[in-house]
Amino acid sequence: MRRGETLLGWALVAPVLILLGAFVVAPAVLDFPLSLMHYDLISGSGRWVGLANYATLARDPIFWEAVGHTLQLALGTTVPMLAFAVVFGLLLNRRLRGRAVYRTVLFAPYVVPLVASSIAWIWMLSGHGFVNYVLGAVLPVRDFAWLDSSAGALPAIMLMTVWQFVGYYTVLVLSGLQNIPAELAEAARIDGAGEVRVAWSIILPLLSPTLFFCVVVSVIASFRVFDQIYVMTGGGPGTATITLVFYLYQQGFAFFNTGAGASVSVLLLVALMGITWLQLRMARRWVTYEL
Amino acid sequence: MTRVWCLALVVVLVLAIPVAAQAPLEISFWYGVGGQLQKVIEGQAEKFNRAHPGIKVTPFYAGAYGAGGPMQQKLLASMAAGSLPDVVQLEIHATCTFASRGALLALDEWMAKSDHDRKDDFLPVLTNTGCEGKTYGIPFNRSVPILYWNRDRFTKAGITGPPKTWTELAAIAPKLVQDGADGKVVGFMPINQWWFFQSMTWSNGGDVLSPDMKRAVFATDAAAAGLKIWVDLIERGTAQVRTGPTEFLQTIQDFVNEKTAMYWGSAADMGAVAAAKFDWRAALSPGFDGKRLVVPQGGANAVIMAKISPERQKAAWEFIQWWTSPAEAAYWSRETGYVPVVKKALDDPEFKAFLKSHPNHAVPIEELAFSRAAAPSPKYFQVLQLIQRAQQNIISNKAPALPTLQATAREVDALLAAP
Repeated sequence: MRRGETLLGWALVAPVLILLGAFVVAPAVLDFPLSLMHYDLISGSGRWVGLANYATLARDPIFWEAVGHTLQLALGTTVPMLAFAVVFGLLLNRRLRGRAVYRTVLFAPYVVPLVASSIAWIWMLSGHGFVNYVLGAVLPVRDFAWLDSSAGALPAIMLMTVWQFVGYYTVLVLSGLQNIPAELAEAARIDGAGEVRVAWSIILPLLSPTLFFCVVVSVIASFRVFDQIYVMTGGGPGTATITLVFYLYQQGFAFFNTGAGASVSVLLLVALMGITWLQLRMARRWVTYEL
Repeated sequence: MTRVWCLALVVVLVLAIPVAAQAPLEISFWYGVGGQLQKVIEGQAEKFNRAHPGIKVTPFYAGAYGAGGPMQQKLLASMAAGSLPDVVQLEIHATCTFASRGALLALDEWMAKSDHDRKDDFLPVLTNTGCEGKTYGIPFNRSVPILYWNRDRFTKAGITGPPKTWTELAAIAPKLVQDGADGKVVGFMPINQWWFFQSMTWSNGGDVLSPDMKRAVFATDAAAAGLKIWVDLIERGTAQVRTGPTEFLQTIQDFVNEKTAMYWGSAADMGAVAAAKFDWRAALSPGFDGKRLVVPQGGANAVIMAKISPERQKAAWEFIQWWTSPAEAAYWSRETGYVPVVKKALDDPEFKAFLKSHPNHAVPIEELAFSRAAAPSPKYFQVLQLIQRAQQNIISNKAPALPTLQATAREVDALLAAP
C-alpha cells in the first residue's frame, strides 16, 4: 500500500520533473561547461578556453552598463510596484462600491500578452502619445519621445513593467490581507488606534510573509525582463536599455559568441542565488510568521 | 454484407499503393517576411507544388529574417538539434557568416548547368551571394534604398521634383514643413539603420571596411557627413526620426498618414506605401554633390543547407530555379516592389506593361546600376550591429558624430582581430 502510493506519487510528478529537467535543469547545468568554451553554433564545434569568456566580459564596458541597467531596473520596478500593490491591496480590501470592477481593471494588464502591450506602449510613449498627454498637465514633457532618448528609455521600460505586473502583486497582497484575522484590527481600533496606526502596526507586520514573497519574486522577475526591451527598444537607443539578459541574447544570437552568452547566464544564476540568499538572511529581521 | 466491405477495403488498399509509392518528396522552405508578402509566398509555393507533382514544398514562416533576428536564432537552434530545413531565405549579409562555417551548399556548378540561373542571366544582383570565392545564395528578394515623396505636398510648397542630393534635400525640407489635418507635417524622415549609413558613406566616397576586411575605415568626415545632415534637420524641426525595432514600420506609416512629406526607405515598402491616399512617387536615393551615387542592396538569398541529403538538395534547387524563372521573378516583383532578379524578367510583356502603368516600380530597377556589394566578411553583420548602435547614439542620444564613429571603429577593429 505504502509502496504503491509512493509509486503513484512519483508517476504523478514525473511529467513535471521530466519537463523541468529537460528544459530548465539540464540547460542550466550545461551552461557551466559552455561558458568555458568558444563554441560555434553554426559549425557545431568548440574548444576550451578556460575563463577567457569571463575575462572578456570584465573588460567590456557594455557588460558593466548592462549590470547597472539591470540593478536600476530591479529597484525601479520592485519598489514602486510593491508600494502600489500595498496601497491598492489595502483599498480593495475595504468595502468599496464597484470593488469587483476595480479588481478586474487592475488585474487586466497582467493578462495582456507582453508583446502586444509593448507595442501599445510604443505609441503611448511617443512625442504626442498618451503618457505625455497625461504628464503634460504637470511636467514640461510635451513632444518628449521617451524611447528615443537615453534618459527616458529605461524609466519608460520601468513604467511599462510596473503597469503590466502591478495587478499580479496586488492580488498576492490582497490574499495576504484576507488571511489576517479581522479581530486583531478590530481590537486595536477599540483600543483607540487610528487607521494609519492599524495599517502600520498590525496589518503590515502580519502581511510581511506575503511582502517578502513578492520582493523575492519581483527581483528575480526584474532580472529577467526581456520582451519589453526586445520589442520596444532593442536595447537602445545606443546601449541605453541593454540589461544583462538582453546582453546575453545579443552575445549569443547577434554576435554568435555562444560561450560569452553562457557565461553571462552563469553569472546571472549565481547573482540571483546570492541575492535571494541575502534576502532570506535579512528576512529574519522584518518578516513575522507568528501572531 | 461483411464480404462486400472486405472487398471494398481491398480495392481501396490496392488503389492506395501507387499513390503511396509516388508520395512527393517534401522539402521545407523557411521564409522570413510577414504580412502581405507572406500570402504571396504561400501562393507561390502552392503554384510550384501543382506544377511539380514529385516535390512538395512546405513553406514555414520562421520569423523575421533580419540580421540576428528570430529566423537566424531558429536556424542556429535547428543546426544544434540536427533537424535542418532544406531551403532558407537568408539575409544577404549573413550568407557568408553561415557559409564560412560550412552550413550552406555551394551552388556554382549547379548554376553553370542551369538554363536560366547562370551568372550572366542575372541583373546586377549577385552581390553578397558568396563567400571566399564561391556562390552560396541565389538572390531571392532584393531591394535598394529609395526616396519616397508626396507629390501633393511638394506641389503645395511650389517644388517640382524630388531632391537628387542631400544638399537639395536639406534645402527643400524646411519648405515642406506644413500644417496637416493631424498636427505638424515634417519635411523628411530618415530611418536610422545601418543600411542607410552604408549608402551615405559609400556615396560620399567612404567605405565601411578596408579592402582586406581587417580594419574599420568609417571613422571619417565623409562617413559622418550624412548623419550630420540628419542631426541638423532634426534639430531645426524639419525632420523627425523614429526609433527602436519597429522604426521601419512606423516610418512607413508616418508617410502613409502624411506626417512627413518625404522618407528614405526601401523599394520593398512599395506594397505598404500603396495604401497612401495621395499622389506618392519613388525617386533615386539622394547622393552627394558632384559624387556618384552608390547604394547597397538589401534582402535575402535563397540558400540550400549543406547537410541534407542529395535528393533533397536537388529538389530544393528545382524550387529555387522555378522561383527565379523570368515569369515568376516578374510576378514576385510586381506583387512586392522587390526588383525582378533575372534579366529576362524585364522582357516579359506583362511586366513591361506593368512598369509603364507603375513607373514607381522602375525606380529601383534603374537604381540597381548604382548598387554595389558589401564586404563579404563573415563578421560583417556583427559590424553592422555595432554601427547601428553608434547611429542611435548620434541621432537619439545626441553624441558627437565623428568621435562616436571613432569609438565604434575601435570596437570593430577588435572584433575583426578576434579569432
